[in-house]
Amino acid sequence: MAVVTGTPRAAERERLRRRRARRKALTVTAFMSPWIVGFLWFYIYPMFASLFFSFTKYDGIRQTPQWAGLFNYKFMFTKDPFFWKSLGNTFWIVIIGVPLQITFALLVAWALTRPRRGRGVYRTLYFVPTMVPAVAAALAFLFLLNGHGPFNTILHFFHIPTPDWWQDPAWSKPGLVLLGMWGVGEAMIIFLAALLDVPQHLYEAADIEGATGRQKFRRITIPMISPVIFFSAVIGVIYGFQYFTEAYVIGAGSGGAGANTASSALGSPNGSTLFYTIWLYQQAFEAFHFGYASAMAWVLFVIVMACTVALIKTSNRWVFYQGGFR
Amino acid sequence: MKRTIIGVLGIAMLAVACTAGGGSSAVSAVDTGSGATHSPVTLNVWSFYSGHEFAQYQAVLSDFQAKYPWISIKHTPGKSDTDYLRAVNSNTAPDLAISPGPDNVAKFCSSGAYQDLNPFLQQDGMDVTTIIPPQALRYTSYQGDQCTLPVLSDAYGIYYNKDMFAAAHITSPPKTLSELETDAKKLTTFNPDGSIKVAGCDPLNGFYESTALYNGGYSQGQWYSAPQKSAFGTDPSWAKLLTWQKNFITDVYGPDGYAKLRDYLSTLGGPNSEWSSSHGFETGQLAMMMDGEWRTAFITTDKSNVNYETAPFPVMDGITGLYGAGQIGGDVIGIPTGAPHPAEAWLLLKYLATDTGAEEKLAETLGNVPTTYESLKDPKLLATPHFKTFLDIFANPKSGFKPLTVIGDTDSTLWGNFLSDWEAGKVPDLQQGLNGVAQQIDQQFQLG
Repeated sequence: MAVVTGTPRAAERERLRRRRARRKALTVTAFMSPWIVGFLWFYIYPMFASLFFSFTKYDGIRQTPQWAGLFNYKFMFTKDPFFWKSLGNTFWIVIIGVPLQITFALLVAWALTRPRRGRGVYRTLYFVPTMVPAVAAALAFLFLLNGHGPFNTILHFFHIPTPDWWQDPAWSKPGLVLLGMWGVGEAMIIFLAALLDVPQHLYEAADIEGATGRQKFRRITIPMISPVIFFSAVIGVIYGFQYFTEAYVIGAGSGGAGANTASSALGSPNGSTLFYTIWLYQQAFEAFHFGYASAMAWVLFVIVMACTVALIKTSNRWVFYQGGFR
Repeated sequence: MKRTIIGVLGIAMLAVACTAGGGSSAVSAVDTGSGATHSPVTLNVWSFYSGHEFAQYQAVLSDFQAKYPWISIKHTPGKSDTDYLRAVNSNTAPDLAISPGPDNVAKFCSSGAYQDLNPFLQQDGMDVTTIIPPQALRYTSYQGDQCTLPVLSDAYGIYYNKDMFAAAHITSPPKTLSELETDAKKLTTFNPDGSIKVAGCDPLNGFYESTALYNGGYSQGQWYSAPQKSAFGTDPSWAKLLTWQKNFITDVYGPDGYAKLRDYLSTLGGPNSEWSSSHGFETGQLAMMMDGEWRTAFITTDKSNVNYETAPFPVMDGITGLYGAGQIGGDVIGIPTGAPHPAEAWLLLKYLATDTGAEEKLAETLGNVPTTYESLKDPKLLATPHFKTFLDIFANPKSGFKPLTVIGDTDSTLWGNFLSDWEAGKVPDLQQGLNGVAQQIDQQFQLG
């Protein structure tokens, strides 16, 4: 009897449960709909639009995109010398600039854990440059690192050779790295928080064991803050591949473009500051090759994705998670 | 799931393809007769102007409003060509767009982003060739499509320091590039450490406005031998010009002249010193230079006491009849497709581009060359010291701007890149290098 009456009841319960679940899902979807619409329209749609454009010839104005298959990709790899040049410059920033900036941010953060008085003032001072707009900072450095500017005057005073930062292709990228190091405030704050979070008892135990300062830094501090270093590395690599504003301003400012002619060299001096995104921008908005620029954007996406995945894959060898969670 | 993804992709791509096109607008006329009645209209005008120049431009727009009281103008500063194109694509185009140069005119015209003005001109029975010199009309149209008109121009000539000329016993400005080199050598002085104290002339492409020298206008260099076919590798005048430049630098400044000139620019404060009172010519550290007409106003504003004169820039030796011409080119103004009030926009465009009073007022206040036959006779401008030189250069039929192409300024950019490599000694074989840059430019057309 129980079996006979139980089956319709169970079915009814199941029907009600499904109805409730569906209603709940609808309610959640309704509340999320502004985000969903925005995500689809402003994120997914442009992404797929650019993917579609990357297979077309399209001027980005009123022309209907014309299907070109893999032409843009083939052109990029076989005919465009500026693609390779800009990619090389970008890898320079990622491989040399990003690690230097992370190291500098870490050292500044470590130094800021030392002073007993005036900590707040020092931390503020080192963070303030982060709030300066990138264009303003680049313009300031254009002046500061001019061949006969204030920075070189100081170097000259100490009889240190004075490079022509913005006119010598060998020194322009190091100049940009200096500009980047000046603005490491955000990474510095994260490192500072991580350094202050390292349990003191680990250092005390090391002291008892007779460890030196260097040993403590290498064996305790670095492993304990390695998740933050990893985070900074991932963010830094992604940012490095998208490096644009500072280089664009410096390149234009040091190139000496005439007022009415466009014969300004890209990535001045001698293409040394021609980064990937600058060439992409030039192709999209000055040459009106939106199809080609879209293809460049997707190649960049693949490179960034590959580098990020590679970093994540190697992270289990050098990143230490205190709680054992990943 | 796979079907859903394919469906979403398909819809997205269809939407992309559908939204990439655009519409067109018809030409209409405004009755400006005294008895006509009009509904109030607000014109949206976008321009690249900013700061005090924006205010000066605004004054001329106010004159227009006084003439046509039913039209009010909302003038938005700081806009670029990219903004105009974006607005055209999103159907939010302004009524009138003012660009700082002709680089993108070919694209504006060929893509239909700007309306062809020929129907407006025909409707008003205007023969624009009787109002505006052909050298200015050339850089405002593309393949017969007059989608913009010029409003003010720049003209490039030579500025020279009269006191230094007198001290070096030079009695007249150079007329050929050889004379320029000879005079530069006489005028250049060095510090005890060998660095440049006063440069006779700095011919590097990136130095101030010297770049105008490398656009071919002073050596009859052809940019294209056929449509979309670069002539850098085939026109021998380019190799001749660059060889002259290299010899000039070595002859005047020594074997390490390039490094000395780079250091010299740094002592002036870098390239940006061009826009400050530490400009080399204004401070007496530069004897001769290529520059535009606006420098006359800058010298006054910066309160420089340099005793100077202006003249047409020297031309390549052996080219007869070219001296007196020079590079010109300036603001272009057009009606973007989709402009809400094209008829009233045309009234304003016509006023700015062809009205003698408006042209003269703009030229006088902004310190540029006016672009109509009548306004070039403006007595005030003719009486402005040193300015007549530039009016004459603009009026010279051999003056002009580089050819316009659908790749915008990309050919200039690639040429500029090559020049910077050449000057730095990174091009071992000049002809091979010129062939290379020609190939790069040709390839850019394949992407369009």
